Amino acid sequence: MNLTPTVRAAVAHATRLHIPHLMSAWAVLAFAATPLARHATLGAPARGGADWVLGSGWLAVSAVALVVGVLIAQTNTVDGLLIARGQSARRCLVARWAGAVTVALFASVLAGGTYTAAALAWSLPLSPTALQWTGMLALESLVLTSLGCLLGRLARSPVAFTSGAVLFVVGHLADETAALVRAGDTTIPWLFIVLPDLDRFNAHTAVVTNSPLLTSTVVTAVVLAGCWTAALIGSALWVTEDPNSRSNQDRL
Amino acid sequence: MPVERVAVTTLTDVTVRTEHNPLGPWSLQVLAGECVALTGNNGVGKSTLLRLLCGRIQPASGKATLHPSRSLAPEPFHPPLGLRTHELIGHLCRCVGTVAPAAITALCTPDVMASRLDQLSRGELKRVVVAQAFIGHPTLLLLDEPLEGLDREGVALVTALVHQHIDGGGCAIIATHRSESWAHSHTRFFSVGVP
Repeated sequence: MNLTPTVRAAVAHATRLHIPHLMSAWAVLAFAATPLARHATLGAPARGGADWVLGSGWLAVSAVALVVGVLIAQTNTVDGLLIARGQSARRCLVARWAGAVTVALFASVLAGGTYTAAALAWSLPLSPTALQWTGMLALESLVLTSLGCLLGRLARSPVAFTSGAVLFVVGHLADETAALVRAGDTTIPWLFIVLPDLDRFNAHTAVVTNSPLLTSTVVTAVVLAGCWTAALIGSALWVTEDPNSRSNQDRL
Repeated sequence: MPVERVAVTTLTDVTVRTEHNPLGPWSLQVLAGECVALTGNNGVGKSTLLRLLCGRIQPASGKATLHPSRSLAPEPFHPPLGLRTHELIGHLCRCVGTVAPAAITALCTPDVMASRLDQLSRGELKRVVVAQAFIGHPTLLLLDEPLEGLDREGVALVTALVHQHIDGGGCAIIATHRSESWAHSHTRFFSVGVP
């Protein structure tokens, strides 16, 4: 199977039909230098209160990814034309999702490049490493976009949407709180509900094992794979729409 | 000896559930080479019937046999922000696996093709929406108010294209308030409000 036309079509689909994807890419790029800003302005030991500001940056990136995911879940007017021709609604959804994922990957690679270039230009230490940073951005965008997509499928029911969103936030809060308490940190930055700070994440995993990097990598991979799988399965399960709803009719 | 024409789409006692009230029952058979003009007052279900015929709405009761080769020109059509006409047409052609038909060049000027859909006038957008229905040369055209907002030249172009399609063995189902524009030897009028 030749994937090149598929990837090209997915990117075209994303950039032409889903402007919010570009906003997502912009947001990711805008916060690419977050760790550089931390080192340049405060230095690692003194970052304390600034983490709240930087954490809100992560929240912004995550919120954009979630919103993009929700938008992807909705059938747009162009896909409505294709579905009216008999094309599968599931296929159209997968095309939209693949487009968003591809754009998110490109944006993350660009962010990693920006981060590295800036660090070299100002002779700042790369912490986390460029690869870690790029990976975190990519996984963050992929997982949250997919999760938003799943939530968007659930959005037919306001109760289901609210329950899913609350569970998502509460789950992260609980995980982060437990991690910080285990690490002996009593100053819980509640703004870090979306992605734990990597240093603290490594610190709390160090309590459990003497190999923090390996443990954090494995735990992160397992958690992200779980979210990823759940989002994919959920997207497939909830792809069938209620075609008689007024909103779906209006999209045609 | 008359040639027996093939049924392209058949509805048998079909009803549709909506948020306000049930619509139907409708029984309708459309033959190849036939044009059916759906008429009726506002709210009787002309657009709903078109959505049913393109598979976007499932019948609450009755049986609907749809034709696999079909296209829809919806009304209204809300274009995505920033999308240009040639991008929409190109995207649809790629997805359908064909090249742009002659109807595109007949209805859309180069300026319209290069413009953003959300910046077109109502008539220009209507031309684009009707023109895209011809992509892939579908057998069944489902057109919702295809003449609304068009100037005299546009009306003549669209009716000529539809008649040409029907004369070529295709068929069309058209929701319209302008039944006089569809006077054609193969046109049959179907009053949606009357079971």
